[in-house]
Amino acid sequence: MISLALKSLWFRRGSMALTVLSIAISVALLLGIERVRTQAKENFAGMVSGTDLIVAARGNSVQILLASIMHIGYPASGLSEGAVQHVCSNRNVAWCIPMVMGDSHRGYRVIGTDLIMFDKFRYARNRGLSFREGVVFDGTRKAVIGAQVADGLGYKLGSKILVAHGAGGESLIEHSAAPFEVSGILAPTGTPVDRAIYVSMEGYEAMHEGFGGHENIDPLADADHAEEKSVSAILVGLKSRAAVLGLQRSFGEYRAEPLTAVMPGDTLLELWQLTGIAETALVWISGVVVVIGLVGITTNLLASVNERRREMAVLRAVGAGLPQVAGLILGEALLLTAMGVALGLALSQVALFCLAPVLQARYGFELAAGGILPGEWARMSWILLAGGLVGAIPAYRTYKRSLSDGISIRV
Amino acid sequence: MGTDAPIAAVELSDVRFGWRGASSPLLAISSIHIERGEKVFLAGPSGSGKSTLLGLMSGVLLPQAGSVRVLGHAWESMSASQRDRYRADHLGVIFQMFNLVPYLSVLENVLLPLKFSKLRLGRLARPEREARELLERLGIGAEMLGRPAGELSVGEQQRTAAVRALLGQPEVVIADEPTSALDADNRDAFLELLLAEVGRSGAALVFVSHDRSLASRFDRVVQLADLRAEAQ
Repeated sequence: MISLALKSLWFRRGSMALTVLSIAISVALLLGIERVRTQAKENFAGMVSGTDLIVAARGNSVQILLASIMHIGYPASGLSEGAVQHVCSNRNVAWCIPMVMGDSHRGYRVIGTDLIMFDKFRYARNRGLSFREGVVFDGTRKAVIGAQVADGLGYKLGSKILVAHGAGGESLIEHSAAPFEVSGILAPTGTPVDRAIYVSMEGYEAMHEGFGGHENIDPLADADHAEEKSVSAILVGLKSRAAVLGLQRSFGEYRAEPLTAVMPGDTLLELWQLTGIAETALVWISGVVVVIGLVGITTNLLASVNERRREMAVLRAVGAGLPQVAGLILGEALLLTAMGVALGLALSQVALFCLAPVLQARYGFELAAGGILPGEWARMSWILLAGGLVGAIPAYRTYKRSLSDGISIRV
Repeated sequence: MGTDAPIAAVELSDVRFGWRGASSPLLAISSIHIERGEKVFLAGPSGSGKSTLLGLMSGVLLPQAGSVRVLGHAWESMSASQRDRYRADHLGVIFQMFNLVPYLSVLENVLLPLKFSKLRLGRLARPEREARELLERLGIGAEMLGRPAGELSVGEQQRTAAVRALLGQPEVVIADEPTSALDADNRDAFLELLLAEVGRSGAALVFVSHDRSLASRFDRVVQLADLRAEAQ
C-alpha cells in the first residue's frame, strides 16, 4: 500500500511537489528558529559563567549586561574610584575585574582591564582563558587580543594597534600617539572575548591623557572619560553565592554614587522576555506557514477524490477493502508531510551550516549545525501528526465515495 | 462435478435490493444459478440494474433480503473485510473502461490482485512469468509491460484487464460491458481471446452487455427483464 501511495504521488508529482515545498519551507523556518533560539540562549548563558554580580553606574540591568559581557552598547555612565573601592573591598568579594570601554580598533572593542581578568574570568562551563600565543600585557603599551581579532586582522605577536575613539568600524579620531603592541593572543572561546582587545587600565588612561581635546568633539566622551570616573563596569566574583542577594541590595544602596548591581542569570532571563515577543511572533508565523502547507495537502487530495473514483473502484474490485482505500489517501497525506518535513530538515541544516560562519564572525555566536535536538524531533512529530489529521478528511471522503460507488461507476 | 449437488459458481435466491429512499426495489430476483465454468450472457437495457446486480454478485452491495452466494458462501454472512478477502481470492472483474490504475505499469496492474490474495498468488509458481505469458497470449508484448497503463490503447487496456481478472485462476470472472468501448474488429478479437482464456482457466464467466449480437457465443443468456418479471 505504501508503494502504491508513492507511485500515486509520483504520478501527480507536479502539484505534489509544490505542497511538499511549502511544508518544507515552513518546517525549515520552525526548526531554524528553534535552533537559533536555543543556541543563542546557551551561548549567552555561556558568556557569563562564574561572574556573580556586575556592578555599574545606575542604569538598566539589561543594558549593563549587554555592554559589559556581550560588548553591545555602553553603560550609561562610569564609576568613580571610590565606588570601585567600595565594591572590591567588601569582605564577601573574592575577586573583582574592573573594565573600562568606549574605544575601538577597526571594529573591535578595546577594553581596559586588570591582569586578574585572565586569571578569574570564566566562560561556558567554568572554563578559564588561555593563551594561544604570547603572554599577558606587562605594561601600559601592551595588548592582549582575542582569537578573532588576530585572525580577522592578521595580527601576530608584536603587531601595532592604533586605537580609535568610539565603537565604529571607520573611526574619525585615532589615538595615534599611543599605539599598543600585541603581547598575547587568546585561544578561541566562542564568546565576545574573541573579538576584544584588552589593555591595562593604566594603558587605557594613558592613551586618553596623551591625546587631549577630543572630548569636545565627541559628547559621549564626557561621561566615559571624565577622570574621576575611570571604570565602566566591574565583574564581581563572590566567596559564597549565598551572599549575592544581600550584596546586590547593599551595592544598590551605596550613598556616594548611584550604582546598579546586576545578577547575570536573572538579567539574561529579563533579556529573553524582551526577545521572547519577537521569538513568539516568528514561531507563530512559521506555524501559520505549516498550516497553509497542510491545508494545501488537504485541498490537493480532496480535489482528487472525485477524479480518482475509478481508480478506487478498480482497487476495490481487485480486493482492496474500504479501510485500505481510505488508508491509501491517508498514507499519501502522511508521505507528503513526511517528505516535506524531511526536506525542511535538510533545508534548515543547510541554511544553518551556511549561516554558522556568518554568525560566528559577526556576533561571536557559535551555532552547532549538525544533529537534531529533542525539541526539533517533537516539532517534526507534531507536524507529521497534523499531516495525518488533515489527511483524514480526504481519506474519509474517499471512504464514503467508495462505499457508495462500489466497484462500478458510470460517468 | 461428481457430487450430487454441485456447488454453483454464483447463486442468487429471493434477492431484493433497492437504494435507500426508493419506494420500490430496484432489483427483485427469485433465482439465478450459474454453474462453475459456465459462460453466461447477462442482457438488459441500460437502467435495468445490471451494475447493481454485479455489485451484489461481487459482494460490494448486500441485498436487503435473500441471499447471494459465490462458491457456496453467502456474502451477507461475511464481515466487510472477509468479503474483501473473498472477492480478491475468487473473483476477477473487468470494467467497461478505465480498468487500470494509471500510475502503475502494465505488469504492476496485472499483478495487483495478487497483493490482496495469497490464495491466487499461491496458485502461481512464478507469478511474474505466468503474467507475462498470459499477457503475451492476449497480445500484450514484453515491450509494453513497463509502460504506464495510461499509455495503452483502449483495446490493449481491456486485454490487460482481462489478464488481471484471470491471473491466479479465480473461479468467477465478472465482465461489465467490457467491449462497449471497442470497435467491431477489436470487440470480436477481445471476446475471442477472453472466451478462450476463461475456458482454459475453467472459470465461470458472467458477461454483461446490451449488445445482443454477442449473445450467441455464450452457453446461456439471462435476460435481466425476465428476472424482474419472475419476481412479480
